[in-house]
Amino acid sequence: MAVVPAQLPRARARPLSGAVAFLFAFAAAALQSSAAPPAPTESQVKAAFLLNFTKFTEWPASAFPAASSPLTICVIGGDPFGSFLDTIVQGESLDGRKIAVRRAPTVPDHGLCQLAYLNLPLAETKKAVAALQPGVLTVGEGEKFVDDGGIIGFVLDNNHVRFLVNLSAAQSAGLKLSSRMLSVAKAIGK
Amino acid sequence: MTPFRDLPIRQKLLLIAMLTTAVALVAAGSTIVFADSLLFQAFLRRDLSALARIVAENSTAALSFQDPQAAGETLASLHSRVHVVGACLYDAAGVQFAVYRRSPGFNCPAPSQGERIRESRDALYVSEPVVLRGSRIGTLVFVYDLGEIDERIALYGSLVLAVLLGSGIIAFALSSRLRSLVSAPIAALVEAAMSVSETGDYGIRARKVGNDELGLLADRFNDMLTRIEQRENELKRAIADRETALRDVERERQRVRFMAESMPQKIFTALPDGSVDYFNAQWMEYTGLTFEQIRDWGWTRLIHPDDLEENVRLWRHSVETGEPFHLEHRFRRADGVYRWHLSRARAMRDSGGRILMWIGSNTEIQEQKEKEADLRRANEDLQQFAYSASHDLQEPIRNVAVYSEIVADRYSAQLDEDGRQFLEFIREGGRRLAVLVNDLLAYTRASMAELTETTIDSAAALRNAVSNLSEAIRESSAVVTWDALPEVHMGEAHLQQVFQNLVANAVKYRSAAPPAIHISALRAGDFWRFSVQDNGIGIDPKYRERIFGVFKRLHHDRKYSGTGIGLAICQRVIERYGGRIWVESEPGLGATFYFTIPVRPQQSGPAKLASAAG
Repeated sequence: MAVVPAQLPRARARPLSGAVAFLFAFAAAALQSSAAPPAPTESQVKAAFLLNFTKFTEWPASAFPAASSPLTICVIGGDPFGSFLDTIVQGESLDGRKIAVRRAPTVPDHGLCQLAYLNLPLAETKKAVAALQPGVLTVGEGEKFVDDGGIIGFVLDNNHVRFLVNLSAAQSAGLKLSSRMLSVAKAIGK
Repeated sequence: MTPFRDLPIRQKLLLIAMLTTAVALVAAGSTIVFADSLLFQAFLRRDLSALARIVAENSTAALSFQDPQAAGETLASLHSRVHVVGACLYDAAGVQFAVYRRSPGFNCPAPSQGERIRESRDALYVSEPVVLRGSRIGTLVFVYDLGEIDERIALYGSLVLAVLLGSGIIAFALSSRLRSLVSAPIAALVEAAMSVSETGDYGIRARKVGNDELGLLADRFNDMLTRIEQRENELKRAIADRETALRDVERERQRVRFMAESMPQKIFTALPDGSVDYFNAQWMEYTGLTFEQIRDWGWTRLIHPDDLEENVRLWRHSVETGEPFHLEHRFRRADGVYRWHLSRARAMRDSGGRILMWIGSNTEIQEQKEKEADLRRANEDLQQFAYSASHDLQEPIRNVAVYSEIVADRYSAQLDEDGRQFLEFIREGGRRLAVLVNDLLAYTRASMAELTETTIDSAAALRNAVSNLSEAIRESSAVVTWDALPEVHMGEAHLQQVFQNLVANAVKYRSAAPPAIHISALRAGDFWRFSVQDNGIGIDPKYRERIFGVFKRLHHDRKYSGTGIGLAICQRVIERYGGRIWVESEPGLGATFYFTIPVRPQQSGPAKLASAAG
């Protein structure tokens, strides 16, 4: 009988996702050093947001090369996240698909990425966004990215990471975004 | 319950109605409230669970994208549920992420790990995990104030109370009208019973209301009153009758006493039980004693010791049976001398036959008694003389008859006509004298005959008598008939003599028609009653007594020859045996002679005289 209560917390702990684990670790760190909690960096927040975007988005089956293909987050261009992104993605899965991270200097082949974080020079961004479609949730920096046809653009609002959403771009990409996610978006482009 | 027991029925009925109404309402009300609070709590739990799930769902994005403001807005949607005191959102690490407070005093409770809904005394704590795509990313906690349930209970309670009050008033109003259905007939009965017991008037009747048990009760009550009324009237009548009777008795008593005081005899009255309650003044004077000394049964001291036993016995017998008292006995006079008295007493009765009193008299018969004895002695002497005389006369008479016959035979030729006629007178006189003396002898013998215990067949006696008279019967063409005749205690010669004299009379005193004579007998009480009926000339009623005297002949002509002694002999014989003889007749219609003979033989000797003389 003593075995059962010992196992229950472990069983509960398992579904913790990477992002949650991150937040948990972050909170734990904050609690541990009551004097000056080390605030997560902007890129770390963004990395966690990337993972969370996947949970509020529905991809058509045609967006994947195969039924068993992983959901791949592609970081195109310069990588601001480093190994942190890999850490939080570790062990995560969605609808039976593993979540993988891939880095590429340019736009990779069609079907390779389901979420693409583009960190390219402004001139190339618009072209790359168009090249990725359809079936890819494109995430970039700033309002300009959304104007250029990107679906989600990170902005800073009072030092908090927020994001903008271009719904028509998402529609034309064949993606469905959860209304709940839209409810916390800073602005929604048409 | 004792105070309740003494309440009037109308109040009892009201109390019962009100109590049952109240109990039913309270039971129904509390059941409803209890069931409602159970149902409401279950509903509330389901409702709050659903609410928690919705709010948790709506919080996923805010939690995922670090937006406490959005989370706060989501939580604020609980504002519309007025009983939600506050809500808190925790992230996966258990750090408070967002808060909603209805009032500033709200403190976030720690998220519960186990049960989703925890209940405290006055609130529900709802913990809902916030799950995104299978992963728990936080916890929603909110507090629900259970004051609502108390409010509901208070509301229901006041409703029940209001209904109770309302229905109580309605029940009161209704039962005040309805209870008269029960209490009015009872009140009517009670009123009737009260007025009967107060006035004693049994003519009063209870008013009957309806045909239920109370109606039945009223009917029975009235029946009972009717019967009591009848009984009371009967009783009153009986008492009145009794009073009248007592007054009558008292009046009679006074009258009797008044009369008694003025009479020469000694008079007394006695109560129905035989104790003497009055003696007249003649009594006191005669006995020289006071009333107190002889009242009740005190008079017995005055009775001659030899007479006392029979006197008391007969008096008791009379008191028990009501038969008249009659006794000759001796009483002691004031000077101590015993004198013969005839004591008589008769019961005076009311119309119903009950004995009211006895009235008696005591008459001194001493002189009578002495005269009677003298007379009896004289009579006996006379009889003795008559017997001796007739007996002694027979011899010279026979001589006269015999020698007159001899003279007639031998010397009639020597006599002239006158001589022969004179001789015939002598012969005729001699014959009649012989018959006369014989009859006289028979008459005196009849008085001296000894009584017999043996029985004889009266029919045989009659046959002998008829046979002795055969010549006279044949000459007169008479017909003698008789019915079955009994055996009697008599000397046969005596009965034969009676029959012979009566039948001879019937033949002798015949009318123009041939005599028809019939003899019969029937039982009348302690006697056989014989009758000898003829169709002769009959007897004038004024001579009914005379004909039984000695030598009393009604007819002196030669047509009806006889000595006139026959019926006297019959009477002597019959009375000797304790019977009686009499005749019933109308002149010209024949006559019927009756005589009675006791069925059982009399005591030998002249019983009455013997006891009286004893």
